[in-house]
Amino acid sequence: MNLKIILAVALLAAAAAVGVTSFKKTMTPYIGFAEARSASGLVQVNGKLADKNYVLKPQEQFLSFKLRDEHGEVMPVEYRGVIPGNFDQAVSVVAIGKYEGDHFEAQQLLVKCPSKYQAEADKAAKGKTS
Amino acid sequence: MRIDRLGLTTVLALVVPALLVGGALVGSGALNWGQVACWLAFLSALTAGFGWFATLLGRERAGTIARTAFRVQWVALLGGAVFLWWILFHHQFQYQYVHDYSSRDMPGKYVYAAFWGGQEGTFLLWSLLTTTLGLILMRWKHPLTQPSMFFLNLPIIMLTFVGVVRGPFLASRAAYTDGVGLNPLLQDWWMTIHPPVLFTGFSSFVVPFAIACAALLKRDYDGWVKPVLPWAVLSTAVQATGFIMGGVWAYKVLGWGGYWGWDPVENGSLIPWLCNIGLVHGLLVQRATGSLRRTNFFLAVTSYVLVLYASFLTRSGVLADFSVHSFAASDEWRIPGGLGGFLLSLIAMAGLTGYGLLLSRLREIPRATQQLGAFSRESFMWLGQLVFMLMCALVAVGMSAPLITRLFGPPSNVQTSYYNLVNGPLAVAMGLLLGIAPLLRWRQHEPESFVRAALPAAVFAVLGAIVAVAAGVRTFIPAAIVFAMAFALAANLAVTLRGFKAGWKHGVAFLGHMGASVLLIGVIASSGYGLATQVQLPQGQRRHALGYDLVFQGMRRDAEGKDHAIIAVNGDGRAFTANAKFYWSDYNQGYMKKPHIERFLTHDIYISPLEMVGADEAGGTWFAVGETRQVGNVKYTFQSFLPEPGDGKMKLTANVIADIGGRTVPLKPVMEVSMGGGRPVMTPAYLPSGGTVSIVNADPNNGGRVMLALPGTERDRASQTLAVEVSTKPFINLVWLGAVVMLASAFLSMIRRALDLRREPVRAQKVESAA
Repeated sequence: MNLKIILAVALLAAAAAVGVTSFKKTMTPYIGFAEARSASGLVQVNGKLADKNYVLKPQEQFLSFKLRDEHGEVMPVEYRGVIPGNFDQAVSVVAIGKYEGDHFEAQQLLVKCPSKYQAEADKAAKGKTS
Repeated sequence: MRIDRLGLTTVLALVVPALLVGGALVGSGALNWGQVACWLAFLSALTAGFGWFATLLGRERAGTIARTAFRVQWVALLGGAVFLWWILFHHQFQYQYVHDYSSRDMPGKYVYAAFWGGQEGTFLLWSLLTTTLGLILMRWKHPLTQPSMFFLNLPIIMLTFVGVVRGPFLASRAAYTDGVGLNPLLQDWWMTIHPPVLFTGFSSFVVPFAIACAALLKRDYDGWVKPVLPWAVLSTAVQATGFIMGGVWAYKVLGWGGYWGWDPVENGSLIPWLCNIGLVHGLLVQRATGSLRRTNFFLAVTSYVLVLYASFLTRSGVLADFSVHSFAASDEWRIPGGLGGFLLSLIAMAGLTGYGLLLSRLREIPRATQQLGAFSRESFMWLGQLVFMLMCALVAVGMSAPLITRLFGPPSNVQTSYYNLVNGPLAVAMGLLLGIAPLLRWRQHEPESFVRAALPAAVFAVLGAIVAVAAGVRTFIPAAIVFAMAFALAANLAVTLRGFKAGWKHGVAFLGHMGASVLLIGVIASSGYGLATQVQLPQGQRRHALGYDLVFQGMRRDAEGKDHAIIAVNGDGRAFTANAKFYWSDYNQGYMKKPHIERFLTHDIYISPLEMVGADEAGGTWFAVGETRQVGNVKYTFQSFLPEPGDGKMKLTANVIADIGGRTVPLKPVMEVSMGGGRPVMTPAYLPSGGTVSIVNADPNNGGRVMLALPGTERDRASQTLAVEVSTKPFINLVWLGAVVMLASAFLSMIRRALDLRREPVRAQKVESAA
């Protein structure tokens, strides 16, 4: 066994070990609301805004809203941090965080608006036909 | 270009029917000229494919047909592109694509960028760029040219087929008079050139793939190395240009303060590039020592497969639930015949062809006559190649996490911290190898003389690490990266200087190593050790943040009708006016914010507007049904709601009675809410005195409430408060400096490798070993 092979095997083993542990550590499963309530680590949930009655306090950087998933189940979500600028127009929201007590505490929000990167034909047809 | 009789016949056989049949179909309204161009390109690609296939079977004459058809195809694609630009610039909204990605009010300087605003135009651009590269490759006088062209043409057949089925020239679904426009985020100078550059990079990976396949087919396991080198380096250089442009755009426009976010789209262009850099270094080892033959074939095929795989992940919509950045609707990949299925078949085609050929030849590819020496340049380059492959594999695993985990349970994604965790230690290994390898000679090196050569670099690295720790880098991996990169910087400086003494060609590659190490030191400093804070700025009042004085002076509207937040800043020995774009975009239905960046030699001050605080809440007064409030001498009573559901909209009229000194005036302000989301449209009602009453917000629950903006209580413009994030980016200039040096080195290396092609092979060998 020469030095080169030893180094290569060590490198591979180390990279594999770091890869697997990092993967497990940072993995956030995409799950339904029911599972999210009992999950331990960080998880992702997605849904639509259940209604427009959300509480947005920009000064305190606080946002609280209700998310409805595809089964119609509703879960309250709270978020503390920089409010996504396009939250008012959200079609669907992905929240990353964990369930705490009576609500889902989001650490990160992905807000998806219609037609952000791809034109949405239906909306356009409604808005701009002559 | 000489056209003999056979070539002329080919041109006529393709173009005349296209003009006649196409013309007739255009005349009858069944097709338009753009679609005719797409058809001509597809049929020419097929013809060229059959032609080159015939040459593989020994029919040399068919090569003329193939080359001619290939040129016709290029002209057809160029015609299609010109036609697309023409309909964009002439606002031909009878084309769905023109409607979807441009509009009349779009500034002219961005109209041409609408070309690649959507998937269909992007595929046309991809076809055109690949064909253009093919035209250059076709001029190459070598036995491998014809088979290479056959393999290069394979993906073009499929790409032009997409042009026929789903080109950008489909008729509109309705009679439009204006278009949707292009996302304002993309209406930026960097964004108009960034996509075509990245697409040139993406397209260019096809050439090493094609030459590798041809070499495998023709059993020429070493002869492909020299001619493929300039192409492989071209991919490195162009792709890197694309990254840097994307990074500059993200930093200057997006306003989140970074230049790289480990987004699927970024990762997708990173993985083929990492693989490609592994290939470039493997080819150099193979040329000098004859080893790594199999690995290089594998990497050439894999680079292109990864390009296609990345396109699949980001364009098919499989990741739509995991990225705000995906280009496709989330169901695109489920549609039979959709782009997802098409991209999968493209991956299957490239993978089966490339890996199939490699497997069939695997046993007969000769092993190196001499094993990699234990302590030699090639050993450490091989380890470096391994590090690149590991980075590539780990990033690919991360970005594929939703697909991989779907096999075992609920689909999961990894946090972006995953990428930093796995690449950090690899970057340390990379820096050390980057410093060690260039100091070594090929074949064998004596450890004693290496120690002597490496000592100054090691001393510099220790000093660098001490400075970093003293400056506040107190975690192990970042400090280790600074140490390793400082070592690489010093070692390569010595090698570069030695190389340039012998002629520029001997130093350029090592200059790139220096650029890479400076870049990484800049990344560590700017991303991990900046300060950031959020501060509220009431207009006209002085506030302090991070040692700077800030006064928000107000909003100013520019000639394009966009608002800018003007902030006077004082700090770091400089007084300046920060001017940050901050305006409402109808397209995005949200506020567009562009940061102000004040540049200093050692750092940037980055001021990013967050929001206007309280602008909406201060705007009105809540009324319950039946409630009466007095403002000034007017008594307002909110009587009832009148909801009228309409076509995808909800029209809400509030019945309000204004009592002005005994005279009652009915007011009917209206709010229209579109069901698809979007900002409600308000129509105010007018008081006899001239003031307006409009709905600000409505709450149909709890018995019904309405928020009205009333004259005299309207939001007071003078008391606006702007929330901003102020941050510093230490040594961000090292990032740009390193990137530019790396880029210059890559392009010069490409020229150098292209020049080498014209030399005697023996001389080229010598040049390499002298460095």
